[in-house]
Amino acid sequence: MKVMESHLLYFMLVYLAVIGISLLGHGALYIFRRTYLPRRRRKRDRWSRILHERGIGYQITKWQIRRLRRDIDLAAFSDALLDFQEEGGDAEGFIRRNEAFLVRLGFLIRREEVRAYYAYVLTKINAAGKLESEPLKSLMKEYLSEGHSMYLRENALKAVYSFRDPIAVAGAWGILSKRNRYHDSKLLGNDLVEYSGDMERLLSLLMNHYEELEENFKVALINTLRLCKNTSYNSQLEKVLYQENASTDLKCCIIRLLGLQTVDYTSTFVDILTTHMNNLEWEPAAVAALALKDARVEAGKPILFKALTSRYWYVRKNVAMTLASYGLSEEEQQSVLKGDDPYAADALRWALSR
Amino acid sequence: MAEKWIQNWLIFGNIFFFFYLMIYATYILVANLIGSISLYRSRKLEQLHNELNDSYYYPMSIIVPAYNEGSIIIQTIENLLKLDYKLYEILVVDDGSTDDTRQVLMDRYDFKRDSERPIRYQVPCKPIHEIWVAREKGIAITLICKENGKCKADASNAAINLAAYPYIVCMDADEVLQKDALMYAARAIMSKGEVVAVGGNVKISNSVTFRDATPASARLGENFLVDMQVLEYSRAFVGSRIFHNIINTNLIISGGFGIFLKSAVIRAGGYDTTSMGEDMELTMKLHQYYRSHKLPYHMEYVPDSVCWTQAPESIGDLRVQRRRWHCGLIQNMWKYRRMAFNPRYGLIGLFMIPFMIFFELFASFFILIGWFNILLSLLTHQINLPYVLYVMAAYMLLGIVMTVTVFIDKMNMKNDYFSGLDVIKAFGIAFLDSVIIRPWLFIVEFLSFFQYKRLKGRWISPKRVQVKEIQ
Repeated sequence: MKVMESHLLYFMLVYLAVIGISLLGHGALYIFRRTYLPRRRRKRDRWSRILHERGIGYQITKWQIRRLRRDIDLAAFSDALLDFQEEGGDAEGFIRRNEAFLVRLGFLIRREEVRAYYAYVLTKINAAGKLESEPLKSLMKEYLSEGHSMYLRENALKAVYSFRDPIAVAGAWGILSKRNRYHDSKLLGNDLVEYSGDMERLLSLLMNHYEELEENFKVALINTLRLCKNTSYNSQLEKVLYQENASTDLKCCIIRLLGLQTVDYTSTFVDILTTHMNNLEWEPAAVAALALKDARVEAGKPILFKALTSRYWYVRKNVAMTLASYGLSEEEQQSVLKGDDPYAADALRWALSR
Repeated sequence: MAEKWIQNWLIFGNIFFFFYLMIYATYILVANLIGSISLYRSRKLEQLHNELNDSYYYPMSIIVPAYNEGSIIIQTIENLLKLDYKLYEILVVDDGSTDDTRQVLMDRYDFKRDSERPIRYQVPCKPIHEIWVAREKGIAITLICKENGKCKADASNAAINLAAYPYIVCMDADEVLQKDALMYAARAIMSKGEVVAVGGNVKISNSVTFRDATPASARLGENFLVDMQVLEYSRAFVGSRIFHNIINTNLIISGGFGIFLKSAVIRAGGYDTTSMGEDMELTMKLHQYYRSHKLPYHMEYVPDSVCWTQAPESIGDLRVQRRRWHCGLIQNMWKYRRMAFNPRYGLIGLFMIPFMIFFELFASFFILIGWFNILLSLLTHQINLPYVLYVMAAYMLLGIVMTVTVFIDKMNMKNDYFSGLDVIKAFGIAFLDSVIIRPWLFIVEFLSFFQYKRLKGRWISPKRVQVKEIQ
């Protein structure tokens, strides 16, 4: 019994030690938290002094590179470098001089959040697109091929854009696309539209590899073509509409792109509307109905009236809006409003009231 | 003979009880410390995130299942309309309410009937009778009127069938989603690949005043029962849950606030409409699906993504809530018993489910055995008073230490306010909690093993009151 009691006492001491460690740990966390910003400021000031006193000729040491792997050090370094650039210093020159070390740093950083930040800083410093560095481009591509986080992928992609090299961007798209990781088409499209290099060349390069691109990338590319009002690839893309394996999203964005040349593609839209109006995949019909708005050709009217009786609400709604925009005669209106299909009448009444 | 038997039993029981408490307490302390370190590190990394471009987002569909929520539904929707997020829709499910839920919504928003909209029933739910759509401040609101499914799961499934966006946000009708909640959740989705679910931090809103869907004041209130739950939620949602998140073993993405990848939920079959703990059931189902198919996945817990919920204010409501929770736990542990101790499910099977079985499911049994032993020792004059006092003091110490750590963690949280008075009050509450409320809750949990069948198939919600708001 006595032995047991001494064991219990021993375990109690262990337990109290755990409590002590827990309290000490929390206390340390509190202190670290309170001192984080002052420490970052001190480190930033040290880097600022180096940049101002030694200028772009300063060579980062191996020891400093190892320190910069830590988030607080990298943040302080980037603060100083961006301040230096803002004050008119040649930050790009500094990066060029220390290129090899910075690339090494990029590989040494392990945490994805910190890598994303590294890419972000690179984008900011290269905002004017003056920096030309193949090793840094390769590093960003490495991030793209390894990154699990959307933050890292997006920031690395933006860093690649900042070099304004269409071949590098097309390569980056290829890497991301091959990895088949979900990357939102909207994000991709937003970045592509903002690209400030040779857009024509970039679009041409990407279109050359169109077939190899993943779905979201195709959608982003087509949407960008539409936003840039580039209709050079319309005939190539029109064929996709008739491919069986083409997705609904892809078909819809191609129809929107072809909508830039409605008159040339009226028969295509009519065709899509005819084949899809009562199809399970009804979305292309709804988009085609809207695209016909600008055609204003009598040839499309009969099929529009027929599509007004589609079993799908969105198709009826868009068809009604297009018909209403054409301006219908009293007779045409009455034929629907007093017709057999109350849903069609309802849709047209609603569109006319707008 | 009997005396010998009792003596042996007491020795065995006391040692077991001692180790049971000590292992649990040590685990909680260690998990809490690791969780706090992680919270500190994420706060540090946020210093970098703040400088990143935060304009990335995922479109989300917010699901608000409502059954007789006429008194608060407008306030909930109005707060959702204030969210600081780029693209989302609100789906309110009127699950055959017998009050004026539907009417108050119709009166407030300009709904248009959209019942002919095609619905793909991808997850099971009772028939949907009507669909109404409105647009307020550029945000689509859909009102789904359906046959009463007798549970939140059925209502949520109906909304999943109509959700337009890739991520769904599941919440309760009495909650306030903090203005920046979705932003932080989206950040978690983007920071890691393959995120199928994100759990938010659920806090108690009873004594909180809101301004613009953000707490203007969140101090401890007057009601001891509510304050006790405030502390309890803080301990649960900050400490160990972060640790479980690190090892990807969170078994509960709270039904109060959870974000799920819609395609994953559909693949797993949606919410189980027969489950009483539908949130835990769905989380476990997702774990089972992804681990058995060897697919990479993450379930993230984001402490900064906050949702404010109403806690029961009366003993009766609290008892009903806890009984339902425990019945849900019993049901889920039984349903997924094959995952326990199964290496195929990794840490979920080998660590988390056994932990839940020993330290949550049967906790009340073990604690009651411990009390019984103390009583038996007293009656047979075999009590070792110093030993009993040691154990009790150690357990009390745990409550106090946990309270201290909660407040240190709160300092690392966003929009978390407390005063010195709150800290003093919290120690008092922690003491009273461990001597009064906790033992009573153990009895409630113990009894729920025997009330399990009676509780199935009922929407249970505590009395609702509007949250306090200032302009």
